[in-house]
Amino acid sequence: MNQLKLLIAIAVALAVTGCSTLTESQLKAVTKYSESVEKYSEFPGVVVKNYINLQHKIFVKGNSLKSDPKTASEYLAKNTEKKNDALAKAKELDDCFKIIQVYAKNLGTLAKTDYSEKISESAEVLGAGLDTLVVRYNKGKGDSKKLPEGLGALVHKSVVFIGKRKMNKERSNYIRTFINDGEDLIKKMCMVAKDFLENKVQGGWISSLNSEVQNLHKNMRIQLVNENRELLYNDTIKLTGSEAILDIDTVYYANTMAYVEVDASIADLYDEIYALEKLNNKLIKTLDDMVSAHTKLKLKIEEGKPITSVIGELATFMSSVAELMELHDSLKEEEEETKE
Amino acid sequence: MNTEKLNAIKEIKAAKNELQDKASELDAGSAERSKIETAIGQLEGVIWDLVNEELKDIVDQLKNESESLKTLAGQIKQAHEDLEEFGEKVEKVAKIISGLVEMVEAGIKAGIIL
Repeated sequence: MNQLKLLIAIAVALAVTGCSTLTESQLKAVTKYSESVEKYSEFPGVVVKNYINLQHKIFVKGNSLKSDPKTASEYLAKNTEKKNDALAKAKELDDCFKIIQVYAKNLGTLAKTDYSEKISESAEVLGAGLDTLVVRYNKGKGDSKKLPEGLGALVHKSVVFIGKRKMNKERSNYIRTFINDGEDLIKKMCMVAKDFLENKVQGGWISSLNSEVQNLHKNMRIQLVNENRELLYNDTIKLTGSEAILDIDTVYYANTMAYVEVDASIADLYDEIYALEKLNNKLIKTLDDMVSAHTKLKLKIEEGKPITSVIGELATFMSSVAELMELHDSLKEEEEETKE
Repeated sequence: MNTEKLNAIKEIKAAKNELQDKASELDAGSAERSKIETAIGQLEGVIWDLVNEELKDIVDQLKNESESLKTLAGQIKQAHEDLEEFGEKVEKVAKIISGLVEMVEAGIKAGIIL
Protein backbone atom coordinates (compact mmCIF):
# COMPACT_ATOMS: atom_id res chain seq x y z
CA MET A 1 0.00 0.00 0.00
CA ASN A 2 3.00 2.27 0.43
CA GLN A 3 3.45 2.31 -3.32
CA LEU A 4 -0.17 3.32 -3.72
CA LYS A 5 0.35 6.20 -1.31
CA LEU A 6 3.42 7.27 -3.22
CA LEU A 7 1.51 7.20 -6.49
CA ILE A 8 -1.34 9.17 -4.94
CA ALA A 9 1.16 11.74 -3.69
CA ILE A 10 2.70 12.07 -7.17
CA ALA A 11 -0.71 12.37 -8.78
CA VAL A 12 -1.82 15.02 -6.26
CA ALA A 13 1.39 16.95 -6.85
CA LEU A 14 0.77 16.79 -10.59
CA ALA A 15 -2.81 17.88 -10.18
CA VAL A 16 -1.85 20.81 -7.96
CA THR A 17 0.75 22.07 -10.42
CA GLY A 18 -1.84 21.45 -13.11
CA CYS A 19 -4.15 24.05 -11.53
CA SER A 20 -2.39 26.62 -13.65
CA THR A 21 -3.60 25.03 -16.89
CA LEU A 22 -6.23 26.85 -18.92
CA THR A 23 -9.78 25.52 -19.10
CA GLU A 24 -11.58 24.66 -22.35
CA SER A 25 -13.56 27.88 -22.17
CA GLN A 26 -10.38 29.91 -21.67
CA LEU A 27 -8.77 28.24 -24.69
CA LYS A 28 -11.96 28.89 -26.68
CA ALA A 29 -11.75 32.56 -25.69
CA VAL A 30 -8.21 32.72 -27.14
CA THR A 31 -9.39 31.08 -30.37
CA LYS A 32 -12.36 33.44 -30.60
CA TYR A 33 -10.11 36.46 -30.04
CA SER A 34 -7.76 35.20 -32.74
CA GLU A 35 -10.59 34.70 -35.23
CA SER A 36 -12.12 38.12 -34.62
CA VAL A 37 -8.78 39.95 -34.95
CA GLU A 38 -8.09 38.04 -38.18
CA LYS A 39 -11.43 39.31 -39.52
CA TYR A 40 -10.39 42.97 -39.21
CA SER A 41 -9.77 43.95 -42.79
CA GLU A 42 -9.48 47.71 -42.50
CA PHE A 43 -6.63 49.32 -40.65
CA PRO A 44 -5.56 52.99 -40.28
CA GLY A 45 -3.61 52.70 -43.54
CA VAL A 46 -6.90 52.34 -45.45
CA VAL A 47 -8.28 55.70 -44.33
CA VAL A 48 -4.91 57.34 -45.04
CA LYS A 49 -4.83 55.80 -48.53
CA ASN A 50 -8.39 57.00 -49.23
CA TYR A 51 -7.53 60.50 -47.99
CA ILE A 52 -4.44 60.66 -50.22
CA ASN A 53 -6.42 59.60 -53.29
CA LEU A 54 -9.18 62.11 -52.56
CA GLN A 55 -6.73 64.94 -51.90
CA HIS A 56 -4.99 64.10 -55.18
CA LYS A 57 -8.32 64.16 -57.03
CA ILE A 58 -9.04 67.64 -55.63
CA PHE A 59 -5.61 68.90 -56.65
CA VAL A 60 -6.01 67.43 -60.14
CA LYS A 61 -9.36 69.19 -60.55
CA GLY A 62 -7.82 72.40 -59.26
CA ASN A 63 -5.00 71.98 -61.75
CA SER A 64 -7.49 72.58 -64.57
CA LEU A 65 -7.89 76.12 -63.23
CA LYS A 66 -4.27 76.87 -64.07
CA SER A 67 -4.14 78.86 -67.29
CA ASP A 68 -0.40 78.46 -67.77
CA PRO A 69 0.09 75.01 -69.39
CA LYS A 70 3.73 74.76 -68.29
CA THR A 71 2.91 75.40 -64.62
CA ALA A 72 -0.07 73.02 -64.80
CA SER A 73 1.96 70.12 -66.20
CA GLU A 74 5.05 70.76 -64.04
CA TYR A 75 3.22 70.74 -60.72
CA LEU A 76 0.91 67.89 -61.65
CA ALA A 77 3.98 65.70 -62.30
CA LYS A 78 5.84 66.83 -59.16
CA ASN A 79 2.89 66.49 -56.84
CA THR A 80 1.81 63.12 -58.22
CA GLU A 81 5.25 61.82 -57.27
CA LYS A 82 4.81 63.15 -53.72
CA LYS A 83 1.35 61.60 -53.57
CA ASN A 84 2.86 58.22 -54.50
CA ASP A 85 5.44 58.59 -51.70
CA ALA A 86 2.57 59.17 -49.27
CA LEU A 87 0.78 56.04 -50.55
CA ALA A 88 3.90 53.98 -49.90
CA LYS A 89 3.99 55.30 -46.33
CA ALA A 90 0.31 54.44 -45.88
CA LYS A 91 1.22 50.86 -46.77
CA GLU A 92 3.98 50.88 -44.13
CA LEU A 93 1.39 52.04 -41.62
CA ASP A 94 -0.88 49.16 -42.60
CA ASP A 95 1.98 46.69 -42.32
CA CYS A 96 2.59 47.80 -38.71
CA PHE A 97 -1.00 46.86 -37.90
CA LYS A 98 -1.06 43.61 -39.83
CA ILE A 99 1.47 42.29 -37.27
CA ILE A 100 -1.38 42.29 -34.72
CA GLN A 101 -3.17 39.83 -36.99
CA VAL A 102 -0.11 37.57 -37.20
CA TYR A 103 0.21 37.68 -33.39
CA ALA A 104 -3.46 36.79 -32.93
CA LYS A 105 -3.35 34.06 -35.58
CA ASN A 106 -0.34 32.36 -33.95
CA LEU A 107 -1.97 32.66 -30.53
CA GLY A 108 -5.08 30.96 -31.95
CA THR A 109 -3.01 28.09 -33.37
CA LEU A 110 -1.39 27.59 -29.97
CA ALA A 111 -4.81 27.48 -28.29
CA LYS A 112 -6.63 25.19 -30.70
CA THR A 113 -3.97 22.57 -31.52
CA ASP A 114 -4.48 19.25 -29.75
CA TYR A 115 -0.87 18.58 -28.77
CA SER A 116 -1.78 15.51 -26.71
CA GLU A 117 -3.32 13.69 -29.68
CA LYS A 118 0.06 12.31 -30.74
CA ILE A 119 0.88 11.36 -27.13
CA SER A 120 -2.42 9.44 -26.75
CA GLU A 121 -1.78 7.47 -29.94
CA SER A 122 1.85 6.75 -29.00
CA ALA A 123 0.96 5.79 -25.43
CA GLU A 124 -1.57 3.30 -26.76
CA VAL A 125 1.12 1.67 -28.91
CA LEU A 126 3.46 1.69 -25.91
CA GLY A 127 0.85 0.11 -23.60
CA ALA A 128 -0.10 -2.58 -26.12
CA GLY A 129 3.59 -3.43 -26.59
CA LEU A 130 4.16 -3.78 -22.86
CA ASP A 131 1.04 -5.94 -22.46
CA THR A 132 2.34 -8.29 -25.16
CA LEU A 133 5.65 -8.54 -23.28
CA VAL A 134 3.88 -9.23 -19.99
CA VAL A 135 1.80 -12.01 -21.58
CA ARG A 136 4.99 -13.54 -23.03
CA TYR A 137 6.79 -13.25 -19.69
CA ASN A 138 3.91 -14.80 -17.74
CA LYS A 139 3.70 -17.84 -20.05
CA GLY A 140 4.79 -20.92 -18.18
CA LYS A 141 5.39 -18.98 -14.92
CA GLY A 142 3.69 -19.89 -11.69
CA ASP A 143 0.97 -17.51 -10.43
CA SER A 144 3.32 -16.11 -7.79
CA LYS A 145 5.88 -15.09 -10.37
CA LYS A 146 3.44 -13.63 -12.85
CA LEU A 147 3.48 -9.92 -13.56
CA PRO A 148 0.13 -8.19 -13.14
CA GLU A 149 -1.80 -8.08 -16.36
CA GLY A 150 -2.87 -4.62 -17.43
CA LEU A 151 0.57 -3.12 -16.78
CA GLY A 152 0.59 -1.79 -20.33
CA ALA A 153 -2.79 -0.14 -19.78
CA LEU A 154 -1.42 1.55 -16.67
CA VAL A 155 1.60 2.81 -18.56
CA HIS A 156 -0.73 3.97 -21.36
CA LYS A 157 -2.96 5.87 -18.93
CA SER A 158 -0.01 7.29 -17.01
CA VAL A 159 1.79 8.52 -20.10
CA VAL A 160 -1.43 10.08 -21.43
CA PHE A 161 -2.21 11.68 -18.08
CA ILE A 162 1.25 13.02 -17.39
CA GLY A 163 1.87 13.93 -21.02
CA LYS A 164 -1.44 15.79 -21.32
CA ARG A 165 -0.80 17.68 -18.10
CA LYS A 166 2.71 18.59 -19.16
CA MET A 167 1.53 19.80 -22.56
CA ASN A 168 -1.45 21.69 -21.16
CA LYS A 169 0.66 23.30 -18.47
CA GLU A 170 3.33 24.38 -20.92
CA ARG A 171 0.75 25.62 -23.41
CA SER A 172 -1.04 27.53 -20.67
CA ASN A 173 2.18 29.13 -19.48
CA TYR A 174 3.06 30.15 -23.03
CA ILE A 175 -0.40 31.61 -23.71
CA ARG A 176 -0.40 33.56 -20.44
CA THR A 177 3.06 34.96 -21.12
CA PHE A 178 2.30 35.88 -24.73
CA ILE A 179 -1.01 37.54 -23.90
CA ASN A 180 0.60 39.51 -21.08
CA ASP A 181 3.54 40.54 -23.26
CA GLY A 182 1.24 41.55 -26.09
CA GLU A 183 -1.06 43.65 -23.89
CA ASP A 184 1.04 46.81 -23.63
CA LEU A 185 2.28 46.62 -27.20
CA ILE A 186 -1.21 46.35 -28.70
CA LYS A 187 -2.59 48.99 -26.35
CA LYS A 188 0.17 51.46 -27.22
CA MET A 189 -0.09 50.83 -30.97
CA CYS A 190 -3.86 51.28 -30.94
CA MET A 191 -3.73 54.39 -28.79
CA VAL A 192 -1.04 56.05 -30.93
CA ALA A 193 -3.04 55.24 -34.07
CA LYS A 194 -6.30 56.41 -32.50
CA ASP A 195 -4.73 59.73 -31.55
CA PHE A 196 -3.41 60.06 -35.12
CA LEU A 197 -6.82 59.33 -36.66
CA GLU A 198 -8.69 61.65 -34.30
CA ASN A 199 -6.35 64.62 -34.27
CA LYS A 200 -4.38 64.46 -37.47
CA VAL A 201 -6.60 62.71 -40.01
CA GLN A 202 -9.97 64.01 -38.80
CA GLY A 203 -8.85 67.26 -37.14
CA GLY A 204 -6.37 68.37 -39.79
CA TRP A 205 -6.71 66.54 -43.07
CA ILE A 206 -10.41 65.71 -43.50
CA SER A 207 -11.85 68.80 -41.81
CA SER A 208 -10.09 71.11 -44.29
CA LEU A 209 -11.34 69.19 -47.33
CA ASN A 210 -14.85 70.67 -47.30
CA SER A 211 -13.66 74.29 -47.47
CA GLU A 212 -11.12 73.31 -50.12
CA VAL A 213 -13.77 71.66 -52.31
CA GLN A 214 -16.10 74.61 -51.78
CA ASN A 215 -13.39 76.97 -52.96
CA LEU A 216 -12.61 74.73 -55.91
CA HIS A 217 -16.28 74.66 -56.91
CA LYS A 218 -16.58 78.43 -56.76
CA ASN A 219 -13.48 78.97 -58.90
CA MET A 220 -14.50 76.32 -61.44
CA ARG A 221 -17.81 78.17 -61.83
CA ILE A 222 -16.00 81.50 -62.21
CA GLN A 223 -13.82 79.93 -64.88
CA LEU A 224 -16.90 78.77 -66.80
CA VAL A 225 -18.52 82.19 -66.59
CA ASN A 226 -15.33 83.87 -67.80
CA GLU A 227 -14.90 81.42 -70.68
CA ASN A 228 -18.55 81.90 -71.66
CA ARG A 229 -18.26 85.64 -71.59
CA GLU A 230 -15.09 85.59 -73.66
CA LEU A 231 -16.59 83.23 -76.19
CA LEU A 232 -19.72 85.31 -76.61
CA TYR A 233 -17.76 88.52 -76.86
CA ASN A 234 -15.49 87.15 -79.58
CA ASP A 235 -18.35 85.63 -81.54
CA THR A 236 -20.72 88.59 -81.41
CA ILE A 237 -18.02 90.78 -82.89
CA LYS A 238 -17.87 88.52 -85.94
CA LEU A 239 -21.53 87.47 -86.23
CA THR A 240 -24.72 89.42 -86.88
CA GLY A 241 -28.50 88.84 -86.83
CA SER A 242 -29.87 85.30 -86.66
CA GLU A 243 -26.36 83.80 -86.72
CA ALA A 244 -25.47 85.67 -83.56
CA ILE A 245 -28.68 84.58 -81.80
CA LEU A 246 -28.06 80.93 -82.73
CA ASP A 247 -24.50 81.18 -81.52
CA ILE A 248 -25.59 82.69 -78.19
CA ASP A 249 -28.08 79.84 -77.71
CA THR A 250 -25.45 77.22 -78.51
CA VAL A 251 -22.93 78.75 -76.13
CA TYR A 252 -25.50 78.99 -73.33
CA TYR A 253 -26.58 75.38 -73.84
CA ALA A 254 -22.98 74.11 -73.83
CA ASN A 255 -22.26 76.17 -70.75
CA THR A 256 -25.29 74.83 -68.89
CA MET A 257 -24.12 71.30 -69.55
CA ALA A 258 -20.66 72.21 -68.27
CA TYR A 259 -22.19 73.61 -65.06
CA VAL A 260 -24.11 70.38 -64.55
CA GLU A 261 -20.96 68.35 -65.01
CA VAL A 262 -18.95 70.49 -62.63
CA ASP A 263 -21.67 70.43 -59.99
CA ALA A 264 -22.06 66.66 -60.28
CA SER A 265 -18.32 66.05 -59.96
CA ILE A 266 -18.13 68.36 -56.93
CA ALA A 267 -21.11 66.58 -55.35
CA ASP A 268 -19.16 63.30 -55.78
CA LEU A 269 -16.25 64.83 -53.92
CA TYR A 270 -18.51 65.83 -51.00
CA ASP A 271 -19.82 62.24 -50.93
CA GLU A 272 -16.27 60.94 -50.80
CA ILE A 273 -15.42 63.28 -47.93
CA TYR A 274 -18.48 62.05 -46.04
CA ALA A 275 -17.53 58.41 -46.67
CA LEU A 276 -13.98 59.11 -45.54
CA GLU A 277 -15.20 60.67 -42.29
CA LYS A 278 -17.43 57.67 -41.69
CA LEU A 279 -14.59 55.23 -42.34
CA ASN A 280 -12.31 57.17 -40.03
CA ASN A 281 -14.86 57.09 -37.20
CA LYS A 282 -15.36 53.36 -37.76
CA LEU A 283 -11.62 52.74 -37.55
CA ILE A 284 -11.32 54.77 -34.35
CA LYS A 285 -13.99 52.50 -32.84
CA THR A 286 -12.24 49.39 -34.22
CA LEU A 287 -9.02 50.40 -32.45
CA ASP A 288 -10.93 50.80 -29.17
CA ASP A 289 -12.55 47.39 -29.74
CA MET A 290 -9.20 45.75 -30.40
CA VAL A 291 -7.76 47.02 -27.10
CA SER A 292 -10.91 46.04 -25.23
CA ALA A 293 -10.93 42.52 -26.76
CA HIS A 294 -7.33 41.93 -25.69
CA THR A 295 -7.92 43.26 -22.17
CA LYS A 296 -10.99 41.03 -21.78
CA LEU A 297 -9.00 38.03 -23.00
CA LYS A 298 -6.23 38.80 -20.50
CA LEU A 299 -8.77 38.94 -17.66
CA LYS A 300 -10.37 35.71 -18.86
CA ILE A 301 -7.11 33.76 -18.85
CA GLU A 302 -6.25 35.13 -15.42
CA GLU A 303 -9.35 33.46 -13.98
CA GLY A 304 -8.53 30.41 -11.84
CA LYS A 305 -9.30 26.88 -13.03
CA PRO A 306 -12.47 25.57 -11.30
CA ILE A 307 -11.46 23.05 -8.63
CA THR A 308 -14.23 20.67 -9.79
CA SER A 309 -12.52 20.13 -13.13
CA VAL A 310 -9.18 19.43 -11.38
CA ILE A 311 -10.86 16.92 -9.06
CA GLY A 312 -12.62 15.26 -12.00
CA GLU A 313 -9.41 14.76 -13.96
CA LEU A 314 -7.61 13.51 -10.87
CA ALA A 315 -10.39 11.06 -9.89
CA THR A 316 -10.36 9.33 -13.29
CA PHE A 317 -6.64 8.79 -13.10
CA MET A 318 -6.65 7.69 -9.45
CA SER A 319 -9.34 5.03 -10.01
CA SER A 320 -7.29 3.32 -12.72
CA VAL A 321 -4.16 3.47 -10.52
CA ALA A 322 -6.07 2.07 -7.55
CA GLU A 323 -7.43 -0.83 -9.63
CA LEU A 324 -3.96 -1.86 -10.67
CA MET A 325 -2.49 -1.49 -7.21
CA GLU A 326 -5.23 -3.69 -5.78
CA LEU A 327 -4.47 -6.29 -8.40
CA HIS A 328 -0.78 -6.07 -7.57
CA ASP A 329 -1.43 -6.35 -3.82
CA SER A 330 -3.72 -9.37 -4.25
CA LEU A 331 -0.99 -11.07 -6.26
CA LYS A 332 1.54 -10.30 -3.51
CA GLU A 333 -0.76 -11.69 -0.85
CA GLU A 334 -1.17 -14.89 -2.85
CA GLU A 335 2.62 -15.12 -3.21
CA GLU A 336 3.11 -14.80 0.57
CA GLU A 337 0.41 -17.38 1.26
CA THR A 338 2.16 -19.81 -1.12
CA LYS A 339 5.47 -19.27 0.73
CA GLU A 340 3.83 -20.00 4.09
CA MET B 1 0.36 65.04 -31.56
CA ASN B 2 2.11 67.95 -33.23
CA THR B 3 -0.60 70.61 -33.43
CA GLU B 4 1.73 73.06 -35.19
CA LYS B 5 1.95 70.75 -38.20
CA LEU B 6 -1.76 70.09 -37.99
CA ASN B 7 -2.53 73.79 -38.19
CA ALA B 8 0.11 74.24 -40.88
CA ILE B 9 -1.88 72.12 -43.35
CA LYS B 10 -5.07 74.04 -42.56
CA GLU B 11 -3.30 77.38 -42.90
CA ILE B 12 -1.61 76.42 -46.15
CA LYS B 13 -4.95 75.31 -47.56
CA ALA B 14 -6.54 78.60 -46.50
CA ALA B 15 -3.69 80.53 -48.19
CA LYS B 16 -4.06 78.36 -51.29
CA ASN B 17 -7.81 79.13 -51.42
CA GLU B 18 -7.08 82.87 -51.23
CA LEU B 19 -4.51 82.62 -53.99
CA GLN B 20 -6.97 80.65 -56.13
CA ASP B 21 -9.57 83.40 -55.67
CA LYS B 22 -6.98 85.98 -56.63
CA ALA B 23 -5.93 84.00 -59.75
CA SER B 24 -9.55 83.74 -60.91
CA GLU B 25 -9.82 87.54 -60.86
CA LEU B 26 -6.85 87.91 -63.18
CA ASP B 27 -6.70 87.41 -66.94
CA ALA B 28 -5.85 83.87 -68.05
CA GLY B 29 -2.27 83.66 -69.26
CA SER B 30 -1.21 86.97 -67.66
CA ALA B 31 2.22 87.07 -66.03
CA GLU B 32 0.78 87.89 -62.61
CA ARG B 33 -1.70 84.99 -62.79
CA SER B 34 1.07 82.63 -63.89
CA LYS B 35 3.09 83.60 -60.79
CA ILE B 36 0.11 82.93 -58.54
CA GLU B 37 -0.49 79.57 -60.25
CA THR B 38 3.15 78.64 -59.60
CA ALA B 39 2.69 79.57 -55.94
CA ILE B 40 -0.47 77.38 -55.77
CA GLY B 41 1.45 74.43 -57.24
CA GLN B 42 4.21 74.99 -54.67
CA LEU B 43 1.73 75.11 -51.80
CA GLU B 44 0.18 71.82 -52.97
CA GLY B 45 3.69 70.36 -52.90
CA VAL B 46 4.18 71.64 -49.34
CA ILE B 47 0.89 69.99 -48.31
CA TRP B 48 2.15 66.66 -49.67
CA ASP B 49 5.48 67.19 -47.88
CA LEU B 50 3.64 67.73 -44.59
CA VAL B 51 1.40 64.70 -45.14
CA ASN B 52 4.50 62.61 -45.89
CA GLU B 53 6.26 63.93 -42.79
CA GLU B 54 3.25 63.22 -40.58
CA LEU B 55 2.99 59.70 -41.97
CA LYS B 56 6.70 59.14 -41.33
CA ASP B 57 6.19 60.33 -37.72
CA ILE B 58 3.33 57.91 -37.06
CA VAL B 59 5.13 54.96 -38.70
CA ASP B 60 8.24 55.77 -36.58
CA GLN B 61 6.11 55.90 -33.45
CA LEU B 62 4.58 52.52 -34.21
CA LYS B 63 7.71 50.79 -35.45
CA ASN B 64 9.17 49.83 -32.03
CA GLU B 65 5.95 48.24 -30.78
CA SER B 66 5.28 46.65 -34.13
CA GLU B 67 8.79 45.10 -34.21
CA SER B 68 8.38 43.80 -30.64
CA LEU B 69 4.99 42.32 -31.54
CA LYS B 70 6.57 40.70 -34.59
CA THR B 71 9.20 39.09 -32.32
CA LEU B 72 6.43 37.94 -29.98
CA ALA B 73 4.48 36.44 -32.89
CA GLY B 74 7.67 34.55 -33.84
CA GLN B 75 8.04 33.27 -30.26
CA ILE B 76 4.45 32.00 -30.30
CA LYS B 77 5.17 30.11 -33.52
CA GLN B 78 8.30 28.63 -31.94
CA ALA B 79 6.34 27.58 -28.82
CA HIS B 80 3.81 25.82 -31.07
CA GLU B 81 6.63 23.97 -32.83
CA ASP B 82 8.25 23.00 -29.50
CA LEU B 83 4.99 21.55 -28.19
CA GLU B 84 4.52 19.57 -31.37
CA GLU B 85 8.07 18.31 -31.04
CA PHE B 86 7.37 16.90 -27.56
CA GLY B 87 4.55 14.76 -28.97
CA GLU B 88 6.91 13.57 -31.68
CA LYS B 89 9.49 12.54 -29.04
CA VAL B 90 6.89 10.40 -27.21
CA GLU B 91 5.96 8.89 -30.57
CA LYS B 92 9.61 8.00 -31.12
CA VAL B 93 9.84 6.24 -27.72
CA ALA B 94 6.65 4.30 -28.50
CA LYS B 95 8.08 3.19 -31.82
CA ILE B 96 11.30 2.01 -30.12
CA ILE B 97 9.29 -0.02 -27.58
CA SER B 98 7.14 -1.58 -30.33
CA GLY B 99 10.32 -2.45 -32.19
CA LEU B 100 11.67 -4.03 -29.03
CA VAL B 101 8.46 -6.04 -28.55
CA GLU B 102 8.70 -7.29 -32.14
CA MET B 103 12.33 -8.29 -31.55
CA VAL B 104 11.43 -10.20 -28.35
CA GLU B 105 8.57 -11.97 -30.10
CA ALA B 106 10.84 -12.90 -32.97
CA GLY B 107 13.46 -14.10 -30.45
CA ILE B 108 10.91 -16.27 -28.64
CA LYS B 109 9.65 -17.75 -31.87
CA ALA B 110 13.22 -18.55 -32.93
CA GLY B 111 13.95 -20.08 -29.53
CA ILE B 112 16.71 -17.55 -28.74
CA ILE B 113 14.71 -16.12 -25.83
CA LEU B 114 13.08 -18.65 -23.53
